[in-house]
Amino acid sequence: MSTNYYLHAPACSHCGHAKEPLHLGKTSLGWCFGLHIYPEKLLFDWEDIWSHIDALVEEGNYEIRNEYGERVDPGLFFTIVWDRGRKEPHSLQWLKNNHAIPGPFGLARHIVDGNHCIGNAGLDAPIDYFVGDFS
Amino acid sequence: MKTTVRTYKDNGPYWEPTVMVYQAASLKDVLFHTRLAMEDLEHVISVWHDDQCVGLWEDDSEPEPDGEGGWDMPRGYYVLRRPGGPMAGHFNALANQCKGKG
Repeated sequence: MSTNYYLHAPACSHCGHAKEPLHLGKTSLGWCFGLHIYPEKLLFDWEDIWSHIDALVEEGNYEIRNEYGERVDPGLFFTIVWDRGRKEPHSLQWLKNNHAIPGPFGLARHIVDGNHCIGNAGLDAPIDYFVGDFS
Repeated sequence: MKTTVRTYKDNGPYWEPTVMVYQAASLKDVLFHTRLAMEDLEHVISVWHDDQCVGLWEDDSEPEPDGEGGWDMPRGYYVLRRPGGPMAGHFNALANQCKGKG
């Protein structure tokens, strides 16, 4: 079970057109949050993405929505990203079978492959950094 | 009889796995494609005679503590598996992954 999250720009009051939404990332049960970063937009990590969201939501009437079109409050999005964990950590065999390494709070962490996953947010942060189209 | 080298790479929960097929006209081609696949750290590298998998290498690496509270995933510890060997079900599952049926 996985869900994508997007940052939506407000529609133009005249023509109704809205900019393409920015894909923020994806949850997958039992895995660290897959945060979509944009080095080309100077959004390199969680702090950059969160500042970007905060500024645009506060001042630009942007809003976060999940892939089903439901509005997600930024505070809830923060919780979705950070309040993740599993009661029973994955076994080493499961991690091996899924080519993952142990992450914080019993989660699985994607291996940095330099292709899709280009980094982790830190030992205690349940966030992996991804580039490319994965929505 | 057509000989092919098929590779499988698991790309995690957010991307489809990558399955590649390379035709090999000679033993030299088999070695060439297998070596390249090992250098690319593919998870499974299999050799096929038509629709029959005649053997494969599986990356059998396990996560290891890095000594600083994190974990490393050493890659490229390949184990050779053959049809009819132990763990036949596992062999068949890996072969099916290389056919894109996993």
